[in-house]
Amino acid sequence: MNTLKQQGIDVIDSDLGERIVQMADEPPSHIVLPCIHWKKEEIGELFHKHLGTPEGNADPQFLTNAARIHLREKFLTRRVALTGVNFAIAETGEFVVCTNEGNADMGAHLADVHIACMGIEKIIPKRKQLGVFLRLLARSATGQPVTTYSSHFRKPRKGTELHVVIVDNGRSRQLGRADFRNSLKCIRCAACFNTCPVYRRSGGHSYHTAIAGPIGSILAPNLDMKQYADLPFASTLCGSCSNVCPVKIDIHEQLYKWRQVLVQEGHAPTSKKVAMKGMTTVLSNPSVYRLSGAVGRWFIKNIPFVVNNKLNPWFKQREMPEAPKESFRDWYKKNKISKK
Amino acid sequence: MSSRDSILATVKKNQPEAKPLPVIENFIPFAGDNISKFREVLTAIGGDAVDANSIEDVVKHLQTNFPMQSVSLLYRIYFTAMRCTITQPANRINWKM
Repeated sequence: MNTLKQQGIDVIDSDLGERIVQMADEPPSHIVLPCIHWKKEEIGELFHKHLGTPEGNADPQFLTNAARIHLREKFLTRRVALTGVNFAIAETGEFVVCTNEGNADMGAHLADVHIACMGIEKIIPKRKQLGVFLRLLARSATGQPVTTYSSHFRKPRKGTELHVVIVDNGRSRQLGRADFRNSLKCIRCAACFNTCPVYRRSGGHSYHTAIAGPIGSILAPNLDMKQYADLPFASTLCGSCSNVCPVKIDIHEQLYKWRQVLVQEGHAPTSKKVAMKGMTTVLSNPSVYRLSGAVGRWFIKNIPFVVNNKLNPWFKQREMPEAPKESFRDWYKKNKISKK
Repeated sequence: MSSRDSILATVKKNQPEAKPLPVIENFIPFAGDNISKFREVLTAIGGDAVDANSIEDVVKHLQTNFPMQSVSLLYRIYFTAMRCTITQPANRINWKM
């Protein structure tokens, strides 16, 4: 989209959520619910500024109608429609676009030219398998039995054009990575986003990539290891993403494997490497572990400013804990009931 | 080598092991009333289902609800509908235009 904009082409998102974040000049924060991070009052304010709706009106129904009127004018006057592709069927040569708002249909049916962009992994063998995917997608994305609109395109209407752009963008390379190729099964339902304890706290923008969430964290390093080296580390590896994935991608295992690849390829920052090596020494030597515990407790108790300062990233927005009087080990030794 | 050829060559080279297509036996078609279920889900996600018995009903609904922008749209909808066969379950209508 940015490339088209640079060429002086006006690009208008027609999905309501996408349109909202586009008006606000920010990227979407979720692949199914792009403006999940916005409050209705904020949207009311945004629409007041851009669409001239009355100030202070934050009624979702009213705002949706305002957007509908605004978008209808675009649908009726623009001559080219760009859509994505949810599934393409090898057997018939058709492709399917799923929406709940009908915006793909309005765009594609009213424009003279329909350009559909699809990743190379969207192809399924036969039409009889489509129903399985349509139901998996809607159920895992929004809990619906099927999307409101599942539109099939096979050829252009008379007098119009239909172009399909098949996008690789690193997918063929990912296909060659045996540990990571499973990520190409993704149908973009965002179930892994919704369950992820990290995504739910931090939101989509913290991932600094178009596809956020757990799946984004295993897709992005394939595009640029250096730029996205932080993402696979921002996980608790709890595995909730893998549990909910309808196409059974081993997401948390791939996060773990990406960490190893990224370190081997030299994309781990020195501070992290040093800290990890230090942790290894501490955690693998009981005497060093005990000594570090005692030193830590002593510092927190007697000269707390050593840890309670801006140089300690853990101190930002947090209070450091109070030091316990003794370690669990010391307590246990004292209180253990002897068997004798 | 064009980008197209190089992508195709990479895909060919990186093929995973072929597996037989799975047979999905427990895929049971929905047994209830499709239209009322669709209406229920559409309403739940904020949509609105409107019954129409003919293309004229559709046009009338749009004229009433979207008077300002409907002229060009109506023309297009009418034009598209003339070329389509819209089939609904037997208890509804079966248009062939």
